[in-house]
Amino acid sequence: MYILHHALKNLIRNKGRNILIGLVLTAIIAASVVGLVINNTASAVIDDYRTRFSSQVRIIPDFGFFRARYGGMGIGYHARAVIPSEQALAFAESQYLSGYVMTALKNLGSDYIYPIGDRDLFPSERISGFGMEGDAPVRATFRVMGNMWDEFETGERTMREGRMPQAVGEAVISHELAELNGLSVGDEIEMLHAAFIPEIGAMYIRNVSITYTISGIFLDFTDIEAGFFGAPVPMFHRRNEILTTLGTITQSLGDGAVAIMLVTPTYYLRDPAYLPYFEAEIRTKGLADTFHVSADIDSFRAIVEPVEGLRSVFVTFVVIVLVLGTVILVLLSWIAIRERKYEIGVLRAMGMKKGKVVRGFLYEMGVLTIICLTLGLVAGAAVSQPVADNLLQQQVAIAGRAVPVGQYTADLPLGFIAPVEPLSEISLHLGAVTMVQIAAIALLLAFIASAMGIVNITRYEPIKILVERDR
Amino acid sequence: MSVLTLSNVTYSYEGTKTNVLNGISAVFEAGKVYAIIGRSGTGKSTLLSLIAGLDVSTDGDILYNGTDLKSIDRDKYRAKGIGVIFQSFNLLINATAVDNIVLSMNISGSAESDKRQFAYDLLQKIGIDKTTADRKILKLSGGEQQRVGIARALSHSPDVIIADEPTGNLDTDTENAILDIFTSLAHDEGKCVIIVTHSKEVSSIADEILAMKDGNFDGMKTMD
Ligand SMILES: Nc1ncnc2c1ncn2[C@@H]1O[C@H](COP(=O)(O)OP(=O)(O)OP(=O)(O)O)[C@@H](O)[C@H]1O
Ligand SMILES: [Mg+2]
Repeated sequence: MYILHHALKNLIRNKGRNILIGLVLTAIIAASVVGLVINNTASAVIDDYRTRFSSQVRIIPDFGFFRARYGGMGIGYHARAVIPSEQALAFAESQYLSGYVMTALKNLGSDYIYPIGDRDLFPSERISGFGMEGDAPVRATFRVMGNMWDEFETGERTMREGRMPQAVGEAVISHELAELNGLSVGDEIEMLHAAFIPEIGAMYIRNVSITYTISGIFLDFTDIEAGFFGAPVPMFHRRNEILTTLGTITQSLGDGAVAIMLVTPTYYLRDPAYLPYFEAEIRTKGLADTFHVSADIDSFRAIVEPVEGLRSVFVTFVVIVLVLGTVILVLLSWIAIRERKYEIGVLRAMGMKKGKVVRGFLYEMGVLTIICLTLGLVAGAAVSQPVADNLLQQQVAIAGRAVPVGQYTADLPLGFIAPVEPLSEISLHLGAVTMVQIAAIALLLAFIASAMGIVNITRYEPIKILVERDR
Repeated sequence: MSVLTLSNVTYSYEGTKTNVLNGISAVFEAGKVYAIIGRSGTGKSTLLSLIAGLDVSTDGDILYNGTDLKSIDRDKYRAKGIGVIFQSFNLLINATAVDNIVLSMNISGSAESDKRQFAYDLLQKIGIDKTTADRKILKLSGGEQQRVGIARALSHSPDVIIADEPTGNLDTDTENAILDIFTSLAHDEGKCVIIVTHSKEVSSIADEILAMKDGNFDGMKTMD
């Protein structure tokens, strides 16, 4: 007990020396706090970028090739320039992915319901000519969309009655379309695909019928004109859109019929570095050479590199501070110990055991360290908080721009999106890690500094310490 | 009754060849004041260091109550068995006078309930008042420091008190007061007091005087 008491008094007795050592220690700790907080924040930010933004894979057809081969239009061109839905789903089953979002779109006609628009021509319109075999293809007057729920998130569409589609075969339609055809929730609508039958011939067409059950009717506030590309044809009339799940739109048509469908998969890699592995995997799963696979690594770098640069600057800074600080601390303790050698000799001459002298030293250094740790943490936090906040804010802004995909719960198994980690959690997690690191640094430094003293204390008989002093 | 027995004690400082002490033998008894005299550099302080248990002899033995100092816990011996007044004081210079004494009492495991008050009283006895006692050793005069050293040596009531030039920095009045304390400790309390000195006054109160020359005793005289 008296040893601690003596140690505390000693701290005050040797104010000058201890303030000097304390300042160096505090400065080291504060600098480490700043460096580590920024390092950890940057790491968290970079990790966050990786998972939520950077790693989006693009699979783009070689349009030049397709145009040269198929003349840039017609069913053949479309059929080959899109990724078949089975493939798109197979690609999603990859360990390199953190998630994927997929939408699909196909055009259908109907002999039973009218589209909004040109009532005179429909239903039962068939296209003639084009030199194809089999059925004269039904003219597409509706668009069926799989997993496209953005308007429900923005509020441009809301459910009026019924519910969102869940089971395979369910779909929702606009209130206007329901009115026009006298449809209500629970009714079935029969649609027609102009589908390929490749087994019979490359250009063999059959009109395959498919039935949807109306699970709900929505109110639509979207801009009708927005869908028209020049001509106001019913197919592009937004009130004619039939919305369903990915599971429904990709369901098999049977009898070897292949739907002409545009599947738009978006894959998210766990890490941009996995791109080559992912590409190799999907090539073996059947992705044609006529598609290019890429990830947005360049723009990832453009955003991440400044953060990484900042981080490495601070890591360097911390290392320099630690090395310099340790050298200064060791020098200071060395000088202090020379000065204290006499004190050690006196204590030993008074009969204090080596162990107790060592304990006294450890207490002194320990208390000094705790004080410096507190001061250093407070000072460091005060300085680093604005910097870290700024970093995080930037990250929020960028991340906000980078994740445009929406999701809809009813379709979760297929339209699964990479989980987005809230930022507040990152900063909390960061605090704990940093604290532990700082405490470790402080304890290490304190140990180095007191080790100097301990070595000295245990080396001599008291007489040698007393007779060797310069006095 | 002999408290300390020196037999053939030889010592040389580490790294030197010459013996500072050359086979000293002597017997120190309880209840007596001894004076050790001799020229500067003959090894008086060195001998006291060995008696104080600050190091062990290179040859020969020092027995404390019949036990060889080499074989006992010398830390405990220094803390409890002996009180040393160093020629150069060896006080904690940044601590106050009273703190020096309280610390010494703590190290010796003194049973005193109010150590601080005990220390003030002890200092008062040898002419250090409370204000002076609360000053750092650095800020005390040589004579004051010497008296703090004396108080520290007495604070844990050891059997043996050894003093290296204890009155070198003191005026005659203070010197006499200190010497009275020493004689009283020996004659009334039965302590063994060994004083190294150049002073006639000091040797005059001794029961025995030992003259040192070239690391050995020249002869032993008994005062009348
Ligand atoms: N640490 C040391 N290393 C080597 N020699 C030493 C050391 N300390 C003292 N000496 C030598 O030992 C001899 C005895 O020294 P000591 O201090 O015991 O003398 P002393 O009799 O106390 O002298 P004084 O009357 O001046 O105090 C001296 O010759 C001195 O130079
Ligand atoms: Mg001497």
